[in-house]
Amino acid sequence: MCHQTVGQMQGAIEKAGIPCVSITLRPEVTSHMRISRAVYLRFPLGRPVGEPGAAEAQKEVLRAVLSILERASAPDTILEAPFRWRRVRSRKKT
Amino acid sequence: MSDWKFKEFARDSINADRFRRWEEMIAKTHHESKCIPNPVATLAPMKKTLAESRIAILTTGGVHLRNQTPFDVHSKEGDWGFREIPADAREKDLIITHSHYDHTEADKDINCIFPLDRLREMAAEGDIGGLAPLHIGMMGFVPNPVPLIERTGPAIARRLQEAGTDAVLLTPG
Repeated sequence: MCHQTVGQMQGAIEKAGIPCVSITLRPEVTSHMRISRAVYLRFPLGRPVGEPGAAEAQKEVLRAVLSILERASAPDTILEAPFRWRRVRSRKKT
Repeated sequence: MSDWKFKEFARDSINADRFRRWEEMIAKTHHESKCIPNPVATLAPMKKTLAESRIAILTTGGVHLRNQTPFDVHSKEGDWGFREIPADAREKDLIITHSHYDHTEADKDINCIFPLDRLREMAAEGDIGGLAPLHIGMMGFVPNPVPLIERTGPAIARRLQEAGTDAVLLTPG
């Protein structure tokens, strides 16, 4: 349900002219919300930015997610990022 | 900046079935719940580059300052309020009040869900322009989203505008 609330808030903020990007762990819900931009991460609920204590991996995730702000050109963009849970630390680009 | 290889999310029958099952589960477990999508998908363009932009975080993961009123996790209707969190808040100042997801890991490191420290570091490293002065905590369990849509959303958007926010990162609980 948190994903639905994210979608509604994203809609309201975009309507006011402020660009948004959200992280989604449940893209099947997000894809029904008509949002601007979202990045799908195959991470467990409650850890959308990654594992606790893994600062560098968290930043790599955030750099990828925020890059969509400049990258997306059409609304309703949902892109899956190339990160896998427990392999985030590898910083591997696939 | 690195070039990540993104993949388009598949809007196929498998994911449509997943959504239907989720909707059925929510309808069964929460009285009078309904999923209301935005009327239309809009995309506000970036007015500055990311490296110049001041970013705000909005999470529905129940994050708030320890000295703020906790979210109401007992109400059947949920809690559609929001808490304003200043950019200089530290991890020790923050707490999670949310009973609808497992926040054990985020309790150890709030950056798992509310990455204020990480954005602060990224600003120092030049990835982003800075932190917006104001960030938003919410508790995303709101079975009837009408008050969220009619009141909370516009109120948050106004506060973020007043604070000179250039872009927003949203994270789910």
